[in-house]
Amino acid sequence: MLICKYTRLGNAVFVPHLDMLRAVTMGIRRAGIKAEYSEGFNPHMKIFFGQPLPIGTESECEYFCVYAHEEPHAFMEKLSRTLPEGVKITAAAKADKDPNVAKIMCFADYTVTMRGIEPDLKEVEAFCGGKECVIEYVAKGETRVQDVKSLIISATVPNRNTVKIRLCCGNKNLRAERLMGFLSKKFGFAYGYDIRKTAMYDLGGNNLDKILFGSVF
Amino acid sequence: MKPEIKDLLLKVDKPARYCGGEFNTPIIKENADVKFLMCFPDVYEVAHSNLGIKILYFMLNERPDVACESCYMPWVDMARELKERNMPLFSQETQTPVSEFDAVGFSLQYEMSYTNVLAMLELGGVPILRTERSEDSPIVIAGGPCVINPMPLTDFIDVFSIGDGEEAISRLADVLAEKKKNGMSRARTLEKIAEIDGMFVPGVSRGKVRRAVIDSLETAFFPTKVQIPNIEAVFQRAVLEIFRGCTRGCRFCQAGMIYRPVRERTPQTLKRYTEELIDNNGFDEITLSSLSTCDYPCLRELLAEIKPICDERRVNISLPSTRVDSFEAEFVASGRLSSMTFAPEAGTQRLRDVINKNVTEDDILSSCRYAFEKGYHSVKLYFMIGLPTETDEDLAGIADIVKKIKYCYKKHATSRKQLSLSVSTSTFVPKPFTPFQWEAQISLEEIERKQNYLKSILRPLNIKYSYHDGKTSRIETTLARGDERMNGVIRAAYESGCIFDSWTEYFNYDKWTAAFEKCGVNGEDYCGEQSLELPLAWERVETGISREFLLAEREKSRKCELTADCRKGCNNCGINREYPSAFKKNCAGGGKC
Repeated sequence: MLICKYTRLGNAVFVPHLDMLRAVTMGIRRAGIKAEYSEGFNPHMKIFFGQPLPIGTESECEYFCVYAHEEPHAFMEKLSRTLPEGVKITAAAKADKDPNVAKIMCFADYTVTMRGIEPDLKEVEAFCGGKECVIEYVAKGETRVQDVKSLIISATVPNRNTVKIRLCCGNKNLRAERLMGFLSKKFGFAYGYDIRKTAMYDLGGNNLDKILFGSVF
Repeated sequence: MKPEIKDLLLKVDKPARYCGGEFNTPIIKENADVKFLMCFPDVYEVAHSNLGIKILYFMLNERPDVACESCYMPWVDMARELKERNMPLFSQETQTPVSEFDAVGFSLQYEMSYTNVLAMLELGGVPILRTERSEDSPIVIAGGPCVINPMPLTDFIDVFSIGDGEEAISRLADVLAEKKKNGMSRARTLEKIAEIDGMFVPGVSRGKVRRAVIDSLETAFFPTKVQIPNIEAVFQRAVLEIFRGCTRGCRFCQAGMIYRPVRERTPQTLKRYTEELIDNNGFDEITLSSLSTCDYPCLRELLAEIKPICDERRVNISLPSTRVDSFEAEFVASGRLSSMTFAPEAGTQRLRDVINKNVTEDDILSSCRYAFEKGYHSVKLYFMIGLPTETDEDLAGIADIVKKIKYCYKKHATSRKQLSLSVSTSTFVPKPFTPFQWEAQISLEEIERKQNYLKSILRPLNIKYSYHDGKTSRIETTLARGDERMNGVIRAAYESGCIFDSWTEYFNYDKWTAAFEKCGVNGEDYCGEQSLELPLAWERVETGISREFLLAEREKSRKCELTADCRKGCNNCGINREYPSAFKKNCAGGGKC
């Protein structure tokens, strides 16, 4: 079995989870890589993905596992030519069993890049460092209010157009764009922003790269 | 991508419909002489199931002087966002507004997409009326099966490409390139386009317009590398067009008439295309597409060639089947177990003879038996209601077939599951250039009465029954058999808010009726019986099928007389005289493969 790390950048941020799964499966087929299939009347490629990434968020750190008969390096080379724009395999390694990324992931780092200089960006740090962090958002047509303090691990503002945040990501989850959407409205930020997930961690705070590949890419 | 477009896309449902970047998108040449936009007037997932636009899109992009992009009808939410933000509808590939292209081509596959054409033009910043377009406006082209009757759209479309598009659109691109190089005026350009075989240019073309027919599919362009949609298409599979045209001669079927003569690809070519389609695209299914795939004389040979290739790559082969004989059943049964589909179209042998549908009850039952023995437990049946001469006895015949299939399942099933049987009916729409082109469509009341009658006789049989909305079928007839007066009706309907008419949730019959009233046009003029003496609106176009042949077929239908498959001998429909080179080059009509 192979475990792979891949990116979802640019146009790929608009593609829903299941279609991304399909795109990778088709890529493997196009590359002529031999993979294993499930039994039964409708055999499916044995391939497993992590939790869905929200539409609109870029990521440098998505993972999937596939039962494929190919050396990791050759797999990366072949597949990189047959995946859609923005999707790129950045690491691959052999594994004995499915590490179940969807289950072990707990936290994620995000970099939010504002499309202009925001003088009041420091407010984000102050808000996230407060005793409680009550946000308002709309879900399924309803306005909801929630204290997300326990879901925010850290938030820093290194310069006036960048926010770096670490949030719960997994069973307990806070979407970065949900937090940023609220903060942007609250503090009246003038510019739009782009969100990119940069790293994921397990419950003990270990980078998933380290767990899966032995080193961080 | 510009940030404002990214922000817009994040506000709408299914943004992957609009972002472009599909795998296999060709490089869009920046400095091409001709900028062409290939449009499909329905949503992304439907558009990506269409082969015609793929052929032309890749064919044009292979030319060094043309850059062809694509654009689909935005869903209602996206259309609203575009309007609110004052942004024009743009191309998928480079987000260029529709109005900035040299030519904008629409594929018209069904009549109920006409209002979407107007919507796309307006959203794209192109005047809806051709007379209001300026020198800088794109030339608006329409092609596809619907333009066999171009008359209802002559106010909106500059150029109709009637018949096969491969050669016609290439010639059109030549003219557009010349226009760009020599700074030719719009009027002069349209005149030159009107000289191309198959092109009808309203206000310029004089006399009759002859349908364009390519002589051979063997030498025609075929795309084996296609764009892979970002989200799943309605038909998400590789399409292999094995032949064009049909020899069966069903009297209601427009496609069976207007794509004549049959032109086949050889198994060798199809094998090569299969390999390329699998290598380039990665689909897990390939469909052998045509109007009647089981009539392909070399089907057995072709399947023997491609089955091992597909099996090795885990690609399923599917056959769109309307007639299933035992061989086909045998083949289908060896693949994935899905449901069996039959289209007997009519419930009694008498009515099937009227429409020249050469399928007998025995054919259906023996195929069912075979499939049930193989473990199938699901059957879908398609029928039409309102066919000429139909009585309630014919409708009762539908229930009889259902009963017989149920009995057959009881006797022969190997599956332990309950039989899943569904019956679906559509309403007969008389179409131009068919032997039934003069027939009346049954009234709305009669449609609903027949549907209710069927419901009542099928209910005790405990099966699924679904039917097409009768109101849609009525409007479809007015558009299919429309004359120039329908231009006003279409425009009035669009202006009152009609779009996505093929989507049940958006179709609004009352708005359409109001549009007819507003324009002083009586829908019954198109739905009622047409005079045999007067010329028909669409007879401006010549398809190569003679009026005498259609009239003779109409006569035969009244006497329940059958016309044999053209493969058994020429029926003298006129194609042999009008398109002798296409007719001779292809093996249908007696040749051997």
